[in-house]
Amino acid sequence: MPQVEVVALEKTYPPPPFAWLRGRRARPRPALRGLSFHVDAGEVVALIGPNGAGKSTLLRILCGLLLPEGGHARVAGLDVVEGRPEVRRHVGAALSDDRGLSPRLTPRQNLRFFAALYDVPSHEVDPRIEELARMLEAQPLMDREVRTLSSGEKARVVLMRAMLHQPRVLLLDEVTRSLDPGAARRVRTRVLGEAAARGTAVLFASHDLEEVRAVAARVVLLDQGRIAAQGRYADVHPAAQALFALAEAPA
Amino acid sequence: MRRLLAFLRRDLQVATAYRLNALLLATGGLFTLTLFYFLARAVGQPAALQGRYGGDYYSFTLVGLATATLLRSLQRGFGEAVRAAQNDGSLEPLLAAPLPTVQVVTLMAAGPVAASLVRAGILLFAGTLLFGARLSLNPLGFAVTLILSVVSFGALGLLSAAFVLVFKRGDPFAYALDMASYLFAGVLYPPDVLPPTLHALARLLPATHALHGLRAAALKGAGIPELLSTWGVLLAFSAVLWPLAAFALAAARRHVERTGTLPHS
Repeated sequence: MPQVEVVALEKTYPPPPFAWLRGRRARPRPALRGLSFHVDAGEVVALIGPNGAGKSTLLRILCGLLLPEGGHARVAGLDVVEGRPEVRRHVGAALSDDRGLSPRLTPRQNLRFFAALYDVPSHEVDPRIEELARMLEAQPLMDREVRTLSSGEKARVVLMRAMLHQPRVLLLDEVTRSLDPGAARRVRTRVLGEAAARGTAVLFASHDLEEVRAVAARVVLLDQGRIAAQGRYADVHPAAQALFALAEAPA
Repeated sequence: MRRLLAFLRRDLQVATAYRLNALLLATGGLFTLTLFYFLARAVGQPAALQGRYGGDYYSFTLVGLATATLLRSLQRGFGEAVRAAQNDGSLEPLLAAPLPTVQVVTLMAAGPVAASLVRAGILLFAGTLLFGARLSLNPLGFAVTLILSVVSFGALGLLSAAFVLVFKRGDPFAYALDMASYLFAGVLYPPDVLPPTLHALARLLPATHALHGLRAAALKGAGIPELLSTWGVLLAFSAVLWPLAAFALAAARRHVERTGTLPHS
């Protein structure tokens, strides 16, 4: 059964107000143009595409942090617009450039705080935090202030926050970007291992084609808000390589 | 309740990380109390206070300052909490929680409001204990007026938060209302001394009624019969302001979700 279902999804950002006063073009900016795909329970699907392809926009819509203009999206069977705020209970998200941890608190204090927001039963909070800390090799970090952590260490805590309430859908936006390659591989294996064991649907955005090849059952390739290709990695790979080569070519 | 405690605990943990700030606040409070003590001695027994609140200017000002501390925090604390979360990047994860926006923003402001409630209480306590302010408190009258004031000013705070959510800047209306309250609502002098036009204007400010009710309950021991009309006015403000605030906040959230500016600071 699909845990994420996206049908003809459209998103256009309006121009900033009074853009012409600042010498900018006042045109709406289409970000998603009629996307349709799904992610089943326990399935891992990768979103790839060059910068500005619409990956982060799509993930934010699925988290209930952006409104689509057309089509619809359902998460855990709930419409992401009509089913709010309940739909957010089923989503765990680690978005790019996430700075949402209180720097003066420890990871443990931050996670206890978010556990209360997501109604994790009190007696389950500390054992769950310990379990996640073990899984993500974060035990030595748990009682240090967040402001003293490196970006890779913070990324682990953000990932723990996303998984804390055992969501049915996990949305990850380049979450292992700041980890060293070895740690990234181990974290990925463990996170996806737990997701598979619990039947969690995982949709992750990445620029790392090696990572995508290693873990994704299916791949959705985005280009300028459209799906350029989708299917198994081997099927999508030629189109992805061509697209990335085009994006890297000098103008 | 668990979520409220989680927010309060988090804010307390952050506040205790900045110990010097608590020391500066305590020093500032003591400075204010001393300043107004000597000012009250210079002013003596103003005719404008005779028969209304007991004629003691220091006690009159003390209750005014304590009330203004709390009302300012309610009026501006919601917007400031949203602004701080925009700046430190915590707004997006908080609004991604499975809670209505009104609830998240209210919980975000709970810590600052609780802190100002404690500050106001300490001001009253220290003013009475150290500087001899004369309070004749009616606990029930004071508590009900306080709750009704907090409720109506909470709505003003949410309106301010809606503004900040959209414009990513401090709310100039909350600032103007705060200034108007200091000028016209009777924090440092009774509104009766104002010219008739300004006095009429003062009656449109919720702060005027909150200050009057809290002073009457704290300085004259006013009870239910004397405070009923004030409570009615505060309830009427709430009845108008809360739907407006809920609408404004929902519209503000829709706007930032449509334009994609929620994560912006």
